[in-house]
Amino acid sequence: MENNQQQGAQAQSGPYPGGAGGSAGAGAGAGAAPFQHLLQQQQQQLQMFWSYQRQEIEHVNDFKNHQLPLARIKKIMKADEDVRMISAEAPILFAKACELFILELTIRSWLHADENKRRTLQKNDIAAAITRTDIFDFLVDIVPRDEIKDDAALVGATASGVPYYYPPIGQPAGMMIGRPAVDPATGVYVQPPSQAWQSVWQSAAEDTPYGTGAQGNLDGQSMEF
Amino acid sequence: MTGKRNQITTSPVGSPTSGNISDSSSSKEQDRFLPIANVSRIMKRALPANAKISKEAKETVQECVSEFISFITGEASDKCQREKRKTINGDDLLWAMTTLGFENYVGPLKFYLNNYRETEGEKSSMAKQEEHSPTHQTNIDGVVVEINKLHHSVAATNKAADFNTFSGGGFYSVGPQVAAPKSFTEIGGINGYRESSIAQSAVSGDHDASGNRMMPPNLRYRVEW
Repeated sequence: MENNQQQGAQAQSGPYPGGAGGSAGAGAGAGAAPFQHLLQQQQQQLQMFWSYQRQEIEHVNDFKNHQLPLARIKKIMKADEDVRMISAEAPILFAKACELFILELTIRSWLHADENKRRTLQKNDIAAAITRTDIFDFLVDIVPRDEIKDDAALVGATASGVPYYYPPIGQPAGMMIGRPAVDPATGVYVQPPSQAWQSVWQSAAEDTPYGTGAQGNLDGQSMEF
Repeated sequence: MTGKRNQITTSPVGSPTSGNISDSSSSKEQDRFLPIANVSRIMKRALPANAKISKEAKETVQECVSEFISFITGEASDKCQREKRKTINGDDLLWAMTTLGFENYVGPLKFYLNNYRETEGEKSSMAKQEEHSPTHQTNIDGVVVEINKLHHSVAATNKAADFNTFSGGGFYSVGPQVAAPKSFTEIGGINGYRESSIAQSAVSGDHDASGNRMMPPNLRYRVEW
């Protein structure tokens, strides 16, 4: 836990000139309705995600190299005593379905982390995504209630007209002072543009090495290998 | 091959998600979830290159995926029982996803399933040795055994991946590292002993490296089979 906080702190203290510039540009577009603009951006990103997934699946021709082990999927399916027989295609279909599920859950969770200007995905980001998404209702028992409570506080803050921002858990509030991403006119943090996501999706076929595209301070870490 | 089997044997003990050290309990605990290395790899595809994922977040998504499989399987199983059928097939899963609100998934998955059926049909007509089942609706005992063999080989590969991930990430046991034949595993193990946050980041990156490097051995093993 301590290490996660330290990593989060390091990530936030690192310079993000591209993000700052993007925020400034998006700030002009946000105008008087930053929250609606944020939601619109999120919807667009998810639509792009689904469009990309459809394109990617069309090029699949090898059903033996799965991202997930079929035997394990079958075992999880069989955990239900009512399940008797499973056709060979069912675990294969689930392997792809679980991939889509993990991708959607991760993207929705990252939206929450990004709103709080963090670069490390935390458990409460996943809890927030589960709370905000209707089709994830069956997962509410997996995340503890205090995680959901924090998200409720976030929603309350927004409803009361306070700027759409909530300090990340475990991080001192002082760390946020002087962030260049703040719009000086309205004091509202603006969502950066989504170009980074597009490049990530389009390069999904080939895994990006850890060192590629790393920030200056991360290069030092990669040398530890 | 002998070394690989040793790794497989050691894998359950190294699982950090298990509170009990006994082999059978660890094995059952681990089998409830998909491998955390596979889940992490898919999560990274949804995030920007400079994003990090906390261990808690990975474990939470692991649990969510198992819940997703059980959720969809339960609904599909109920449908099969109502229709007096014993075998759950791909169409039942697609129907269940639509019913439970995951209609976004059904389009890509339908395409994927049709591709699979066409490909397997072609392979069946070519009468390859790798073919396990002439029709996907048949569940003869012999065919099931063959499918299980394939699944176990796939699971074995993924368990090896589990071993590399866990030994480098958080379980600092010397035995498995000594037994491991690959040098990058040893490097991961050495990094695991460091307690600084930089070392933790390095270890995290090493997971990615391990994941990538598992590909060539995986292919080699498939050729041998």
